[in-house]
Amino acid sequence: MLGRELLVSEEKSVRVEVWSDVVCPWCYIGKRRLERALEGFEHAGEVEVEWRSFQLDPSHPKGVRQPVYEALAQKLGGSTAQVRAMTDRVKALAADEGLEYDFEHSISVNTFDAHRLTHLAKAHGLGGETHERLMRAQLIEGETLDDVDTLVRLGADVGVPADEARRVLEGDDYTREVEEDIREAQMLGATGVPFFVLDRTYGVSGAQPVEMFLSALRTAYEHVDTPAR
Amino acid sequence: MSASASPETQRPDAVTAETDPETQGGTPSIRRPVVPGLVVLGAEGAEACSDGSCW
Repeated sequence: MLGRELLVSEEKSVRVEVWSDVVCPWCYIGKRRLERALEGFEHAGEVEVEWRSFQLDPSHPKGVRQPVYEALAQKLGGSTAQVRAMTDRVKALAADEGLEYDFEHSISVNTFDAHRLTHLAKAHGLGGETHERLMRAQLIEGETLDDVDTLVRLGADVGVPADEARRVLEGDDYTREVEEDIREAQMLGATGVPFFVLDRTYGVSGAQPVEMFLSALRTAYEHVDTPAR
Repeated sequence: MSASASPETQRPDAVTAETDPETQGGTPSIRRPVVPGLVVLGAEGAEACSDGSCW
């Protein structure tokens, strides 16, 4: 499991930035596939992974909570039974990665505050752990990710100081950082997430196969020709 | 003092971008990617969420 934020490099390093939203089922699958690629990458110790914020639905009103199936049925105009059938494929592929998605209990919320928490966590070197914890909470555990108490608890699970998290979540700290991440994704041409950028040179869009991530890591590594930053 | 990389050390296929001179002493802030931008790897159409939808 990827918890690394900053890894000390010897001579080379590859920086992988991943734009992702905590409610994005393909992002969690993509995360697992990247992790598996890193397990097979001979220079994994020289790879730095950074999770960047992206909101799939920034227009979702803050404070509005709705069961995922109900929200999808409303948005797409089908029945909840039809929506359930639509999600079968992603659930099956997630299960292949060891992720037991539970959309029956998932709640659609605005994820902006969850991303602000992740930026606080990054300041503590816990960005990867927090993103992982929040995705699990949203997609598997049915937690409500716009609730301050819930976010404080989930952050504390991975070591984010609870008092600091509460202060941030009750204010507006890290708003600019989240907005900047989203703006940068748009600048780089991301049209969806997950979106992976290696060394600001190579882009990989979507939950690609493990072999693709491995190939991308090797390509980026081979083209590192400057000393580690 | 400029912190920009010299042309000799820049990878030919690297993303180039305009940078803000005010921030050149530190990490440059990227204003916009310049064509050709990122080299895209992997097949198009891999599963992803876009426009608020994943299905």
